[in-house]
Amino acid sequence: MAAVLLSALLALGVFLFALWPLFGEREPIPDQRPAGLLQEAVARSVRELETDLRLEKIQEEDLEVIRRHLEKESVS
Amino acid sequence: MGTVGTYALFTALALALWGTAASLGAYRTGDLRLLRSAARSIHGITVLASLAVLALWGGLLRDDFTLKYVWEYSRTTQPLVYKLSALWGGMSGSLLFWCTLLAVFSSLAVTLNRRNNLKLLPFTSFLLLLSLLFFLVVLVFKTSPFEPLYDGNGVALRDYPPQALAQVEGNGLNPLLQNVYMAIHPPMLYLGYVGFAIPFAFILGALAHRERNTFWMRSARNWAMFSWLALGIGILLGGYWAYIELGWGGYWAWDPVENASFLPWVTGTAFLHSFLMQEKRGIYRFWNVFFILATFLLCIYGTFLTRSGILQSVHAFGQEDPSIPWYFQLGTLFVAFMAGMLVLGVALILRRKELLESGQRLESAGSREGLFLYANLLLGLMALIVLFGVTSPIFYRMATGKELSHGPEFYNPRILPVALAVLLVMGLASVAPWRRGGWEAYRKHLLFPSMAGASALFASVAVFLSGGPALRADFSARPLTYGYLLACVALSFFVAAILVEEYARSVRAARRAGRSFLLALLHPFRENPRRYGGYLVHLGVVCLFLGVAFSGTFQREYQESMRVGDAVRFGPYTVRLASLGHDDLDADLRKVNQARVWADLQVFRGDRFVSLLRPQRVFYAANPQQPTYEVAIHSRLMEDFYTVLAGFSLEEGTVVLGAYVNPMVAWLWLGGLFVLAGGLTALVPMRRW
Repeated sequence: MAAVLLSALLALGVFLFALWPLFGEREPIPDQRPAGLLQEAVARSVRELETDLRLEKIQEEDLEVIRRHLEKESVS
Repeated sequence: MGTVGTYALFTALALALWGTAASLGAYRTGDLRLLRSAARSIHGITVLASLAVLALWGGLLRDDFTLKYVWEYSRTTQPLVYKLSALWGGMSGSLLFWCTLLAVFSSLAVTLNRRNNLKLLPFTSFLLLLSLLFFLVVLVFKTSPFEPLYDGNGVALRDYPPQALAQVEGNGLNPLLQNVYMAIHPPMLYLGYVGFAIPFAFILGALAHRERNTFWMRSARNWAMFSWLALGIGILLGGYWAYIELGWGGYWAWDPVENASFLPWVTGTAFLHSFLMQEKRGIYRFWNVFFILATFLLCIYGTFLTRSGILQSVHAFGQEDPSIPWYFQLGTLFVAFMAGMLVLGVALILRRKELLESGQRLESAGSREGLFLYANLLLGLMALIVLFGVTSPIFYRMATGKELSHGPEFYNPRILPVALAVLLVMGLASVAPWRRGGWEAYRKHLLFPSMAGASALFASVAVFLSGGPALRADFSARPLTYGYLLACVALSFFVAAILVEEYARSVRAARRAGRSFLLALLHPFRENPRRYGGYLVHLGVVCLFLGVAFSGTFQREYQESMRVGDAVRFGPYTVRLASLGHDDLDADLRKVNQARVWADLQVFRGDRFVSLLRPQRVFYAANPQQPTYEVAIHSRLMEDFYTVLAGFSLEEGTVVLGAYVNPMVAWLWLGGLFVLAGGLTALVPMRRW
């Protein structure tokens, strides 16, 4: 009996926890771009490609083409 | 315990229903309140599913035989570790474990992405909640681990008086699963299977939310990398378990359930590489959606094959009651879920196909981008071959009513050429330049590796030609096998040389930049952990190729009857049966869980004593008619001497000893360590150590 009561209490608690946000004000999901993350993602990719530049696996003009493309993609 | 578990699962199911509806509502209306409610539903399911797991573990630890699951998979004398691992020893327990892991991972993914990737979360949460809903429906309505046990008269054991209940003993865990590696192998596989659900949900989420940007990729890639690593290590642990527990001298038999775990690993490998191209160049978007969808569905398919009992396998342990109507059979439910997810994925691909166009063309077929495309095609082909091998027996049986199973004779001739091509592409892709190909681009990077590959080839041929008449006769009898072996040796040295040279160039560059020797050795891993972690993984794959090639080609098998005191030759080894021992075999197995018979062997190579081995047979209370094998192995880097007690007579003091000389099996486990080290390195964020 104690187990049943405890389970029922837990169920009620978990449901209240899940439904609680519905009692707040309606607001839209923000559509903002995490600008720092976008730049970081581009910078990370470019940094990895710069390793290849030193190891002669990419030419400078190709790196520039890829960098431009990544930057264009990040603002699209 | 049963009541708590049942209520927890019911509540989790109701919460999953609400969460699925709320996340879909959030996707359609963009209401943040609904999204928050869906996320909290996932957290709630995590708490409830974990509670159900604790309840089942509680039942197993307390020998609560009023629960059918506990009675089927545990017994009072079962060691603690196997009482705990009985959680995934049966169908409903393992589905509960799957569901709980999925809930935990979903909670983590939602929490970690609540700031940076909030925009993607409505549809991502919807897919995760839909998957949770499926598993909870199965657990609540189809196969609950908290089902009560009834006796032959239809009386529930929970209604027994305590004295009568104390007399009840459980069946016990399948003896083959009472092995420490089997206690680790399934959770590792499940970490992989379940983990792939997260990148799957994120990628389809990005598609549904029309997100072309790549900022969310880091999170998805890390989940995919973690899952791929766990699945790979899980597969290797399964191979090691088969090697030491089944007593047949091998580690991989193209068994359907083995293949079922191999399939998502292959497509997951393709996904990880192809995804890199999307991150760097914005290309192969379609391939990535295709591969992650395939990987997720194959993870579900693997679980389905293991649990449904639809295929005969040493690993399958689910058997459906034939009296259950077809539409309520577990197999039907799994097929319906997979079909639903497939339709959803394909519909999204079709509706968002403009997002999957990169707007870029492949500049050169010999470029790095081109080689990654070949890798996609080859790995896709490999997955198709294995999928056909696993699935065709099911359709064959449906059509003819007869059994069919594919073994090494089906897979080896089809997979080996593809695998060797993958090895070649793996090496070339490491040195291939971006955006351009051509001989000039490769020439300076391939001189040393080509010399290494050619030298290895010539040396191998010379060894075979000078290896005596027996080796030459074997060479003539199996030219294709030796052809594959030579190709594998040459390509392995070629790829290993590429990897070593690439690493050495990076170290030299660091030295030129003024770093000390020690720091220069670490610099490549610090500067670009993904790249050099990947190279470590590739080195592990080379070790795996060599281990498989040599152990598969040169395994030698022996079997001899011996009397105590006899010394018998097994290839290069001489074995003396020093003694034959045993536990008290008349003891009540119900009280001791197991009893052993063993042979003490002195092993010599030439005149030199090398090892004392003790192969055993173990009689488990769970199945005393079929004693399991505990093999004994003298393991060295270049060769294993593997012994198995095939038969014995305690009265006559005789044994039948099986023995295998297995070359280079240790290279598989060494390769696994490289894969683990490389995978962990690749997961480390750049410049964080």
